[in-house]
Amino acid sequence: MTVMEWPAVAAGFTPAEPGAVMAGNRVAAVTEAARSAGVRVGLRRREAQARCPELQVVPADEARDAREFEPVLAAITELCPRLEVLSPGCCTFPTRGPSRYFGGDRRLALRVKETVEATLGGRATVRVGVADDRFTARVAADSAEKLSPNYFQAGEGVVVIPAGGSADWLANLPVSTLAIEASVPEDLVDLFRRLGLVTLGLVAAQPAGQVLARFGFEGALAHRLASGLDDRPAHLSVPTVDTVVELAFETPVERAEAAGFAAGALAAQLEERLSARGLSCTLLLVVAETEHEERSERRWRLGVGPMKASVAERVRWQLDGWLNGPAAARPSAGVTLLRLVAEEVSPAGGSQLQLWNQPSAAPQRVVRAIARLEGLFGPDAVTVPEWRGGRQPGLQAVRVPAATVDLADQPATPARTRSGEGGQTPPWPGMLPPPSPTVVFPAGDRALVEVLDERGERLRVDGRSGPATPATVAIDGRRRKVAGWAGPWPLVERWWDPDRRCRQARLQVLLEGGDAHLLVLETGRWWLAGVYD
Amino acid sequence: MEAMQAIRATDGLDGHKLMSMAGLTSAAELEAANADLDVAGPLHPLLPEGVAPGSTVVVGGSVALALALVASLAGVERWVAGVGCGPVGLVAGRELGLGWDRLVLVEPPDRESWPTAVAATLDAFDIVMMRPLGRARERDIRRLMTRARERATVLVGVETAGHCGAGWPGADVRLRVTGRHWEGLGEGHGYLRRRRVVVEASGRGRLAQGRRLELWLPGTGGAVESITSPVATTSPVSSDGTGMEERAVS
Repeated sequence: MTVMEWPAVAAGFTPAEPGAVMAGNRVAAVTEAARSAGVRVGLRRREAQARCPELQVVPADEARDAREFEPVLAAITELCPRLEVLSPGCCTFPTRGPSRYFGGDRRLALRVKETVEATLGGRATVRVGVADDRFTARVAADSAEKLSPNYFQAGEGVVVIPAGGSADWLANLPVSTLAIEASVPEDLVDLFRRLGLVTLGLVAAQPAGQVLARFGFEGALAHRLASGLDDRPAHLSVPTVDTVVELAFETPVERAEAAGFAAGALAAQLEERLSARGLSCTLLLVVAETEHEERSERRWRLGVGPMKASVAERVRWQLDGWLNGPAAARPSAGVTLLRLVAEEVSPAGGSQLQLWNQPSAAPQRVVRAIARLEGLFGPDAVTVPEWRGGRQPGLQAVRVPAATVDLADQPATPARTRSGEGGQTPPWPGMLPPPSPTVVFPAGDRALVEVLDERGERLRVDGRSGPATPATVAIDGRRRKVAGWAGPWPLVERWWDPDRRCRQARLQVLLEGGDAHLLVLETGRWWLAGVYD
Repeated sequence: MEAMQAIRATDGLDGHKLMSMAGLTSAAELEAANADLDVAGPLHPLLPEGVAPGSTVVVGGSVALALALVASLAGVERWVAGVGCGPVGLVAGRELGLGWDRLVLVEPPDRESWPTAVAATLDAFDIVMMRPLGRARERDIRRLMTRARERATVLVGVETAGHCGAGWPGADVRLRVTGRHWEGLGEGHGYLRRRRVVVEASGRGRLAQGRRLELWLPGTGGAVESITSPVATTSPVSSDGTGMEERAVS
């Protein structure tokens, strides 16, 4: 099935309007009116406008072509469910089943033609070709008017090549016909012509093996096409389904529970639509909008089982975090629109769990809980540790937001790079040996401590004074005697970097009562960096 | 799901309760969820019967003990959530055997929201380690313990000094470090090398009479080690520096 001059139709021209679609300063498609004025595909813009001064010119847009073709495909799907789109404006489908149903290839072809023309509101010329192979059918559809062999009645725009007649029908066509197949290079067509193989019949008459030896795979492909054989088995797409459902609320919904309830009904509707096609949704996009056009979007991966309850729960979580979140992020009005988009679908029943399966790497429940907590407290509140290496206990481990880590992708065995256990951890000279402190305070969150020596003076560490001897340490105002200590060990890191430089001295102290602490001297004061609790 | 329904039909189990257990979809998960969690490694003599899923363990007196317990309960398979464990040393946790690959940390923004955070993690994780921000309310603790029992999740509460507010009424297992003695640190030389602790376990059932275990927590290298040769002294708590100097390493 071919819609003639599809780009022009997709651009919204009616046949009576002189219009052209330009690609790179050349005419790519023209309307009927423009054609009768002498505008042809391949002309320069200036030439085209000279021939037809009232010509309306629109730039080419492949996305538009494809988008506008969707309703056409949907209409054809009603007649023939298994489609293959060759390019926007052109698609093929196997006819055996539908033909039997509609009473023959010819009836089916006419039916398709009528349906498509009706869908396009009569704006386009539609041609349908039926043949044993895709190439012949396409040539037949394209050339329905130009050629007048015995097999079609002029004017209906439908050509039916009888079974087994493809090669005969193609035999008299010029070799340049091959050029409509994108996989046949133009050079090759030109070469055939120069070699005297001016018709497809002459090409097909050559021994296949020698064509392959002389012209390679492209030559073999051209030979197959010219012989009326298919270049590949049909690749049929799963029928397109409308995967979007939405619901507009007349009165804005303020409570997440209410929205979740509505979402459950919406999900049931989507599930019904999908399961009618034997599909199930594996990735769902939930969009909520308020009156003031604030949006909350989140993708949820869905497991097996009925969608209704699980979607309702997820929408509730998502909106709970959004509607009751921190004031800055909270929307200014209630939710007025809820949209569910099935972003990924898979054949239903394809995800059967094993009865005695091993627990998976990241169970759905964990991923869901993380998403829920992120919704409640923001993405930074949920973290996973990652090994970075360093000399200070607080810097060896960093916490990265769990949202940025693919937990589901982790292997089941615990040899991993995230934990730094997989490879050898490089040595960090100057690092305190294990055991590490079990409580570590980050640099901005340390308490000031007072460290006094035997004379009751503040303990100083510098190159000139003698060994430092801490005698008492006061933490939170509680003064305790030092039972043992080691250090101070100086540490100078990144002196070249004004922002991240670090110059400190570390001291392990054991206080009376058995508490051990890690103290750090930085900017002339002692801080509590960690506790060996 | 079919497996679950089958069990419900044949065994006469309370199917609705089964279904409500966090995300169980197959019989294997059900089996895993119902098995007691073994306490492996040096802590084994303390809890040889393991910890039943859904029970609450309160650890007092030492963060290292909490980390070691969670590590031995978790093994390599179970997912661990740490709620409010902001300042807990992750490197120390790793040295004690707590893997990072199945560890997720949640920091509730304020003390009002931490029960919500714990409840949400109880639904999904196998072990939840929580450290109440500030003073925990007894009502919240009770509710969370009930929820843990429903969801067959082990709840490990970490009591830190100064935050022992609620006291965790009705906890199944209580572990407490009662004596500690660091080795390796001298007067200006050596470093903190290992610590000898006395851990006391109490709780319900067989734990009612209490147990006592001496351990290196942490031992040399940071991991928990059992003490192979029993030492005569029963009070290893020492605050004076005299005993330490002999063992100090320089």
